[in-house]
Amino acid sequence: MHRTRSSDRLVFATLLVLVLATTPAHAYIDPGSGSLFLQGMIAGVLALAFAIKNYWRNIRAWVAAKFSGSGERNAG
Amino acid sequence: MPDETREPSSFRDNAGFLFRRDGVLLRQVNKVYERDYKALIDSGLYAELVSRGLLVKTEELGAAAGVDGDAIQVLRPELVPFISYPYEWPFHALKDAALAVLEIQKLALAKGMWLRDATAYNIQFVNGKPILIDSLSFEVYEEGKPWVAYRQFCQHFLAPLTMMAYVDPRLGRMSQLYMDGIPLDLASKLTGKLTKWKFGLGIHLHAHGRTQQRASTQEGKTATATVSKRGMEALIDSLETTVKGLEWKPEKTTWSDYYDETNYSSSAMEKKGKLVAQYLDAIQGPVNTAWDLGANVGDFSAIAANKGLHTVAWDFDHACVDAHYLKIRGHGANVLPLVLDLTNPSPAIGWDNNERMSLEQRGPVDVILALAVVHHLAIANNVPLARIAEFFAKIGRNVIVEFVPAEDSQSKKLLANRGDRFLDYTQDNFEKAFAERFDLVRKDSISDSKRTLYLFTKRKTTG
Repeated sequence: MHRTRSSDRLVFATLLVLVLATTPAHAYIDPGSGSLFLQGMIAGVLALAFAIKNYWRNIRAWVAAKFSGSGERNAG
Repeated sequence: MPDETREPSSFRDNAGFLFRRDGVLLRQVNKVYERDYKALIDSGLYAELVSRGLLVKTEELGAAAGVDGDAIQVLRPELVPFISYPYEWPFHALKDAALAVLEIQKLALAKGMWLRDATAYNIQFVNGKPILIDSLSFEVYEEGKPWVAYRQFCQHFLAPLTMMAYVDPRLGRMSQLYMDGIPLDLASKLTGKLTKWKFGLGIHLHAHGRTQQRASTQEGKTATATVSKRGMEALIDSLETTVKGLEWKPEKTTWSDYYDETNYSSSAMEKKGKLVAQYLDAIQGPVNTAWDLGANVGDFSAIAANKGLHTVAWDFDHACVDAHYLKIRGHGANVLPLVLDLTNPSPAIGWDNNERMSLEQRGPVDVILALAVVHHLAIANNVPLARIAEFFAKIGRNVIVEFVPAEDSQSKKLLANRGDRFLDYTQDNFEKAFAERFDLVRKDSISDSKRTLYLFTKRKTTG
């Protein structure tokens, strides 16, 4: 069952216009307008999640090094 | 005049094309791709990918070797021993191929380049490892642009992997129907109930499928969204996490325990193995390639591979092929386990039915191993013995084939409920059928069983 309300379509069309910039995408494969749109929408959120993940990884690595004593050996 | 033909599969990309000159496979690089090809070499990306075994090695022959004046370079790629297709790969092979593409994309981004396509057909398997075979797949990265191959990656890899992991691995065969990968809305429909709360799949498959569908109803857009480099790295990392999170473990299948339930004692298996090894040595002339039909988990494929033959191990059962792939994954095993339904082998597909080769077009092979397979074709699938011999003669120059008589318990199982339809399934008729096209080289009964092993060599046609 598909329920596509006209308000959904309006929101999507508005977002599409807002997200799409003016640089043309020249590609020999069809990138798909929906795919370009989605990347524009999610890149910021994913970048934030990626940054948090990397910080967390660094903290864990630092803690592991601290408690295993390898940090001192490396420092020396 | 040299004999030159363009490869029928190489026409979509104006950056270059594959052609054969006097039988040697070459790739012309066109003027339009000059900047990107130069960047691939000058950035050190080519050298790094080749050293990591992720990109096929190529030798530069110079522009003068080109087919026409558009050439800026001609490359001679190292040959891949066997061209296979994603619809023939087991789950973990497709997953490894997907991760290799993402690894290549990360390495490329670090060198100021990225992939401009992500088709699974550009990946092949060499010594149990996926490798990119198209050195024209790269372009100079331009910060701010979204990845043009994002949709293609999701259609070629993420969608089939999700369907295989969450529904059934046999759905991998659907890639044969959709040349540019599984439509995302279709994969989303098939897996939505099972995966809608998964973060990565929610974005890259379900939301992606919906935006694709909706955008297709909008006016044609030629613009592109803005994605920062950090955003691009995050997108690739998210895809990698999502692919890594997909897993499939086989349930017990008829074939995964086949050897435990057949008429073979371990000593009979050992004797059969020794006979197969002797037969391989007895073949006259050069023997470099083998196809093991009905290979199960590859016990006999390994015998051919250990003798230096590049061996493709075909089987119908996904669980067996996947288990075999996991066994040889990542090392120089000289074996390639692939999924194939022998009663409906991979056809030629694509534009003009001429982009992806059929099984037969990828042969003939030097030797076929058809061990404990003929009775399944003849009894379970009603293929006449003469048609089996005819098919083997098309795809192989020599055949090591096992005859399993009707009295064997495996045959009896197949014959149950089939009445007396198979009265002509006799050893005598088997030998007559093969004698039409082959010369008998050796024949031995396999001790501790009722079975017989044969080595046939294809008779040279006269006149």
